[in-house]
Amino acid sequence: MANRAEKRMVSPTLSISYGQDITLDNQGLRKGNYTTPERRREILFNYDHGREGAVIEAWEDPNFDVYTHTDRHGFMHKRVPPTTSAKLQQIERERAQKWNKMIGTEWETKYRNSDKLRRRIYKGIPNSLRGPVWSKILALDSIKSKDIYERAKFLAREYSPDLMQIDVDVMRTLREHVHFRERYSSKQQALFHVLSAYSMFNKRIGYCQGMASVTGLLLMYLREEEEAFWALISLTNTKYEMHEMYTENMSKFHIFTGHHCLLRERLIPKIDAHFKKWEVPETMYLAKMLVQMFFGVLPYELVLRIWDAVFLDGPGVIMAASILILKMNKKTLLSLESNELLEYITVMGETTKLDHDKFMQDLMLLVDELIKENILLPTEPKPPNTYQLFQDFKALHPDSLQIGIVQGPEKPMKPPKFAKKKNSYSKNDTVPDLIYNLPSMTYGSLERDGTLVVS
Amino acid sequence: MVTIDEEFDMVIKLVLIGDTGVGKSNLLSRYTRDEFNSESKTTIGVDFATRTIQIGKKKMKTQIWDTAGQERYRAMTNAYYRGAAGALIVFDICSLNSFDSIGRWLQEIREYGDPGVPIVLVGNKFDLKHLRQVPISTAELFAHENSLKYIETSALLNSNVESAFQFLITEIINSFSQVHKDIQECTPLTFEDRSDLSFRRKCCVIN
Repeated sequence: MANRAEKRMVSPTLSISYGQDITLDNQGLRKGNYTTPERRREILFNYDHGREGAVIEAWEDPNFDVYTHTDRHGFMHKRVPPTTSAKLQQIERERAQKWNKMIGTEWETKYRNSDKLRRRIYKGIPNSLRGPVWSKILALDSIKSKDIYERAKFLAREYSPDLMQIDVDVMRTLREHVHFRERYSSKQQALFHVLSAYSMFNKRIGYCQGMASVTGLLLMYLREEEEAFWALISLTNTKYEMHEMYTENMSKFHIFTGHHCLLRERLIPKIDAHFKKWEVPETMYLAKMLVQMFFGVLPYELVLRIWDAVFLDGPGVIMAASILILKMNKKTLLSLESNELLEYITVMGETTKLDHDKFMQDLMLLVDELIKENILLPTEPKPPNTYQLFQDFKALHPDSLQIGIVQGPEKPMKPPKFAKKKNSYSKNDTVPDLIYNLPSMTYGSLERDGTLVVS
Repeated sequence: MVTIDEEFDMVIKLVLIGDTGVGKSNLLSRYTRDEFNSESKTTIGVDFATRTIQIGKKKMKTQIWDTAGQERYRAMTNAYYRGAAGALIVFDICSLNSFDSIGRWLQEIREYGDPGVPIVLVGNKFDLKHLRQVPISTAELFAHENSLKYIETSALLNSNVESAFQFLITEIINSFSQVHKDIQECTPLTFEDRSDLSFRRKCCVIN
């Protein structure tokens, strides 16, 4: 492993770092989608200084006037949002006690792989405990490793090619939420940091549009930005298979789209025939469902509950939910044609008066049914695991980092009991194409004029 | 795809393409709903909107597909080029990068779209004059060399957005009417105001 990495480091072809597709025009300007040094300095300056010191254009900072109400999740509305009933609040309080017990000392031994946990997840995690519970089911403590986050975040300042894209997307992510409303607010800063660190940690992905929303939501529930970083790593890890959803070729997206079509044909043949007749392109409704795990498609509270289930049972839940939504809209979908059908599909998640509890119940049944028939997920090659990414990162930054994998080679998370597919890796699987050729760096901060102040 | 229809005289499909963050989604919302959204979201995959317009005596439904700009989404979005009757290639006048990509977008639409599909080049965000990086002359020269029409718009100020789409639709109809003589009666082209057309009708596309 080390030898292979070493070889890679000294190979002359590796001096490319990130600029391989950059060409210069006759005025010496850089072409191609690349963060120019000037722009990089401006972006970093703004995020370093936050609201107090950043240069903010008027159009970047929408005011709060249009909104008059804020719901319990922090989203702003023009009208009074439906309030959480006293009854539900009471139920959540009662549930919170049970959940506190579950994620306590007996988590590993008693609850981690229990049916009780699964039942309760589908019933809904109390919102107040969502962060800690996510942290447990994503097994963040077992993959966290000291210094990696800070190091990746720092290296990203100088070397991540994705800063410009990340900056553009941070500006338009969750702006209707109070914490993300203001340009360069602390949550926007955190989002920028996590995405840029991740783009450095995993070069196979870098940054893919859609990750900003996912990370934004993670940041709302997990305590620190570092936790969100590890959660993102966990999601793009063995169990959740989201890795190829975000890579350059987005192969998982296309594989899942194909699988969705198979399931659609088999489980809801009438809708399938109707869609085929009117030539509805699947990607028009699947993109947000798959890439953002339903964020932007369904009401926010239901998205959270689907995430709860995805984090526990894996991406098969996404497949099942994509079918369930169509099924629940069957009557309307079959009654519409042509443009009206297409128009309805773009809003079908919002317009449906969904009973969230009923949806989750049906979702669990459907997931179980698909597992039984062994068609929950397509069969395909697996992505690399975090262990390999660690090894590469470590091999390429040997001087400045004492990276200790907390528990040695990562133990693959136990697949859910019912899983028939095997999630095993060997260390000899394909090594991700993480190629860096970086000088040793010292920590410091970049000033607007480009000087590095060493701290 | 231009289709003759019983209730609509025509249904046409357009695509909006160009680099990420240049304002494609806001051009679309300005054109179809007369809205500008300062909290515009990243387009994931494709978005879709329609608008009915009247040209002379002809009613026309425009079906517009707005696409994600990031490179890796192209395998998903270029499937929408097939059957498009026209394309708007959008760049941001404040971003040289987005202008430099126009060549690649042209190549893309010529590869995956129907042959000879009319294209209009749009330089958006001209309200941000103080940040301009692409001189008008450069863009015009480029458009001329590639036989494209060029127009600068501001979705924010609602300037030229109508014209940009009208440019494209006019070109489509002109090239279409050379093939189908019956359409010629609607020339000269006059576009009527959207306010008269706030109705919805059942529509049937016949191929």
